[in-house]
Amino acid sequence: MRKLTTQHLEQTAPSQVVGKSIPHESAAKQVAGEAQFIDDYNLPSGCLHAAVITSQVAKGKVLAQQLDSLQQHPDVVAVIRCQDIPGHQDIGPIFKGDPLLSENEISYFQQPIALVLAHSHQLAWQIAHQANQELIQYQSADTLALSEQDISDLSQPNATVRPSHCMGKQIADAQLDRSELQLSGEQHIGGQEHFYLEGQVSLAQPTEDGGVMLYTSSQHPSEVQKLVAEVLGIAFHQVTVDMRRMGGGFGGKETQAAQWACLASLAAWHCNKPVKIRLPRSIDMAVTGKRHPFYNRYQLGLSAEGIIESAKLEVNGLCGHSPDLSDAIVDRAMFHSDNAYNLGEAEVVGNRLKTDTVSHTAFRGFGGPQGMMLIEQAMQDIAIATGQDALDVRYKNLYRDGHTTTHYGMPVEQHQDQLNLIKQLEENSDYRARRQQIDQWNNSNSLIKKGLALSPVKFGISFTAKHLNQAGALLHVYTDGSVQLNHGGTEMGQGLHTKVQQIVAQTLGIPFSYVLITSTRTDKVPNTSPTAASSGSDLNGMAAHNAAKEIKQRLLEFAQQHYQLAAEQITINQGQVKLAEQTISWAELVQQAYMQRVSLSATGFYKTPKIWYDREQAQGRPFFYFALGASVSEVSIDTLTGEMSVDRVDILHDVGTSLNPAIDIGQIEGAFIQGLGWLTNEELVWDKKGKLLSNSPANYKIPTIGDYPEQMNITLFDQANPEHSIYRSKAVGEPPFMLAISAWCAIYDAVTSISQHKQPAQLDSPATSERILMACQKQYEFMEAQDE
Amino acid sequence: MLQLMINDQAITLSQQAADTMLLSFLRERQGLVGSKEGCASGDCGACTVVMVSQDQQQQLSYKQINSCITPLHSLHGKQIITVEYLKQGQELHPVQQAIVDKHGSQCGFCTPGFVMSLYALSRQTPKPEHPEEFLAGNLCRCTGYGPLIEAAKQVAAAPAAKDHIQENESAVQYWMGQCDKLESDHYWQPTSRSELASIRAKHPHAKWIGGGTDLALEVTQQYQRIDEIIDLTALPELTGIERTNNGWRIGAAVPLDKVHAFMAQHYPTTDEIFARLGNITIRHRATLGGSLGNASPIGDIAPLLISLNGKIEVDDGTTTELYAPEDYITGYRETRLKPQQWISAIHLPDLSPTLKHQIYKVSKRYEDDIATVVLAVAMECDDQGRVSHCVISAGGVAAKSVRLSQLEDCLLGEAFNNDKLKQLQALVPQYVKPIDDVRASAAYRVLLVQNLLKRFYLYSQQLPTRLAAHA
Repeated sequence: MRKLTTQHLEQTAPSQVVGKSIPHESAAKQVAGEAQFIDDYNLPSGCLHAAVITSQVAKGKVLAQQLDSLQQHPDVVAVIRCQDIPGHQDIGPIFKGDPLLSENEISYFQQPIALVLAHSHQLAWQIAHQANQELIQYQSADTLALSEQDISDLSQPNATVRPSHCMGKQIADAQLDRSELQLSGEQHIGGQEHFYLEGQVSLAQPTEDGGVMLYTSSQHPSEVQKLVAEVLGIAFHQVTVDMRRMGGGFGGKETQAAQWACLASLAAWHCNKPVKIRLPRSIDMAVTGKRHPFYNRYQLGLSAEGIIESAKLEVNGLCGHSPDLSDAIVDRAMFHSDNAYNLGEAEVVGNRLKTDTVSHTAFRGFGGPQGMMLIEQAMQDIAIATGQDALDVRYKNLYRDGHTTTHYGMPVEQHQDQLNLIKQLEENSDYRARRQQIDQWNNSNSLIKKGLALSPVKFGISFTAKHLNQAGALLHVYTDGSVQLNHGGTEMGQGLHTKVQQIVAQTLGIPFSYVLITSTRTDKVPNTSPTAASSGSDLNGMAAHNAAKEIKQRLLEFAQQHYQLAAEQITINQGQVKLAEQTISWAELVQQAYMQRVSLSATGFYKTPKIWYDREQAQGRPFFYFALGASVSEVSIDTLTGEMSVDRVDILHDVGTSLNPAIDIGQIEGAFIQGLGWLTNEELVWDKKGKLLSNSPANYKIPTIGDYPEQMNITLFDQANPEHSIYRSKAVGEPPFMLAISAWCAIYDAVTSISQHKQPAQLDSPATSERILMACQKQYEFMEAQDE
Repeated sequence: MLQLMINDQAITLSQQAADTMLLSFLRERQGLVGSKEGCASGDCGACTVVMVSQDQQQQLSYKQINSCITPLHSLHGKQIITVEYLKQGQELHPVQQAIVDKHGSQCGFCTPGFVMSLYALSRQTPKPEHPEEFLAGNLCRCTGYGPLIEAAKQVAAAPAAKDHIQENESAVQYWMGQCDKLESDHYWQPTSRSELASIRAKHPHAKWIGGGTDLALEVTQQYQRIDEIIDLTALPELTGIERTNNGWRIGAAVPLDKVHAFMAQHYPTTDEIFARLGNITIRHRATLGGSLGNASPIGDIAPLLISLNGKIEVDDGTTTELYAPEDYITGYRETRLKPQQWISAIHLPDLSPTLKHQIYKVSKRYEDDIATVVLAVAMECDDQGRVSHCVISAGGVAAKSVRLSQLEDCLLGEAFNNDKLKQLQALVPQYVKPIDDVRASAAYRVLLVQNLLKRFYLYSQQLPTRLAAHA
């Protein structure tokens, strides 16, 4: 089922630690129940528990509140309101707009208004729950903006959270008309709840320096440190953030963890007691931002054979009430609206629509998936319009010789690799033969229809905010030879610490077990970037590698002097130091160096080369490289009910030279299934009052074990990264998420088989049973109209 | 006194609130933090532990349950195995090792729950044909499940080997034999009808509990307190399945996994609806009585029961009454149950060999989801091919589960052919008036009822119409 291909390692050091399928560094602890999450930590004595009182309207203001009366409640230790914040009241990560607590201006349903403290988690939330219902009266706004239909005029001051942005050059309708064919389409793409299994949680302890020691489940400890310090009006150095592991992040703990960390810190500072806050699931789902829903449109000018000559694309992100990271997210949707295809002359517009909901945020792919969905729907639509197999349309439109420049001016250097990858997958998945079988099936089965699609992925790797593309590491060698390494990346299950441990072991020439990666701490490596944008091992792995190289260099220089040897006479491999004819252990070398007063601690630093981007001109090379991939999905749909099953998936994905094939395949598989959930089952529903109805796992359905495809073949593309990345690997966190688009395309294909692929499908995402059935109905109506 | 065994520790407790859940007891009182809270609603399985109880044959059975929604008192006299108990010294249990070997943990938060479901799997004889179904009550957001499916297959294929838990079984059974009846002044486990009736008379506001999978949500999701609980699972009248004159009587407190196994054998057309009711972990606790008592508008059981002419038996300790489910359920979460009564059983008549019966469930997610629509049809035809008996029932289309008698009338005495189907479908919008909600639109629900009638028609013509079953 799952294939681990053997990778050839380009930079093979003699002891192969990198490239091995070593289990996750915490696996043995995780299965034993010993791996600790913040909620599992022993509580410091006197610890208080916080809960938030939340707004019961989506927009408006508090008319009257009796929060003072809460102070009399026998179980209430304290009530904290916005006026109790000594420093900054706004914790917006880049732009303002995210108040820590908001009493007067309500911007979304269940926005936190105040904090209540009690002696147990359950008590605190019981009191808050009751206070929500009884203590506050609101003046509610009449109209709410919940979807793009509610926003008519983008020039209105409140229509957007950030200005619109355009890439490429303006395309006039006349230019589209010059092509032989014109095609247009639109789509709604639903958002997605992160549903990390571990909800948001923070534990804050006041320190003797008037600061805070904070444990928080966050992908961005440095930003939490900064925000806590700003909220409390203290220096950054008074706040220390410790993050050992998250129970899943997926982008949902990049900015969204900060509010709870700040609230716990604020309460701890006020009460001078440790304070823990942990969000119950339904609160977590209601009050934290999600993947942005999008509404997208395209207009294409095409050659007769379906090659795009000019394109006018518009992506509209529904951002919620504040900017959060939406500027960059919609930019990334725009950067990926070409996916792997040359758009010809292109204009790509991105709008950031303001809605009266939680502020939507980072989620694996960061807008990229929503951008790619537009052009992949277009590929399916072109196939229908020109009577071709969608795969052939895709081949014709791929970046190719003479057509290698993206709409933002970056050359796609690996376009030939992309083509090879797709061809290899087409062959291995037996695409053409299965296409014939499926056609036969569909011709002889009226109720169950099958569909097949291959879709590629080309995903840009680097933060588009250039300054974030840096990382640091701190490495200590102790006198028993054991090595402790700390880096700025956070572990959320993706195997980052395992990979970095492998990198350090390999670089030093010692066994994997000699290295320990410790919790991410702002007092060890400062000013770190979020663990996001798939960059974790690229950045932190290289920083750790640089720290290890530094130490190794010192040790080698010491050994040369000490043993009077030439550099080439000394090698370190698997913990053995070869000194010409003599061999000593790594620990002995370390001890000797220590006795000779060699520093055994080093920092490492890395910044990504080559990248630049001029946003004014919308030109540059925002990405160090592209991660590539492709997938083939086969689905069946039930045309009576719209129910769907994924029958087979074949994936070929490019992780460069894999640092750890098992972990990489795990990322690919997990991302695919998560993407499948986004595009099929996972549906966010708000009511007219702006309240999230899909607020629990009882009514928001992430994939379960039964949704795993009947057949799943995952193969790694055997090709080193041409760029000088860490051991020539490629980032893997986000890119495979978008492989699931082939499943959506296969559903589209199955639906359109009803009209013999004559009529395009209007299939918004998520393609729930309901949407599939309704799309089928449209096909039947088309066929009936044809008959008449 | 409340007595339970946690791993190898026998624990005696007094003064526990009736609404204390096992998970909070494990994590906050016992320091056993391996079991996690992911949702506190029995949907994610991060809190999964294994419940060990003695069956009628004095055998120990091992079943995974959701500790987050299991009241502590309901475990009186039972053993609970948590993830902490599996590892021996430095050696992982084979089910733990299987997950490590298959790279089945990423963030690790769901992992202890998967471990416990795998452990329950390892204790089943014979092993299920699709071992991965044993993990259906556990959500994982990281792995995509592939490695966990492989781990399940490996565990299911492993030869039986005694572990330290099995070696300790006789001591556990001895302890179970020593346990007295639960004594508490706010949680009662009566063992006879008369005792139950007298407790009820004294505590008219106490909540009934079977498995508690729904009741517990009042505590964990609605932040209510429940001061008094009457547990129905110790009454022989409510926990057995027995033969009646013309069918079967199934106790209202029989857990659904047992009901499922029974029904699959005797009423095979109901297999899928039970396989998709909650998930396996929930089915180890949930009961028919709980499902019917809550009278959810969707509740898959009520439409099923209506279609098979089943009856609901209620009891007050002296007299029992039988209701047709469509009469018993009067509205949105409303029933005819009087304060002194409890649901004691359901009665099902034997299937006529000529009955054509189907029950269809459509939900957003195939497994472990609340139905968008449930439609059940039972039909018999005379030797002229005319419909002589017909029951059509539905869930998810009104404030309660309904019997669609107008549609039945359209069929009775007529031949069920394509024209009749069209006529029937045309009637649907007149009599089926669902609402839009978080699961689906009203329009989709109407269309589903129409199309599921077509599905039944095709089935009656012996045409295959279904997608291959999911895992």
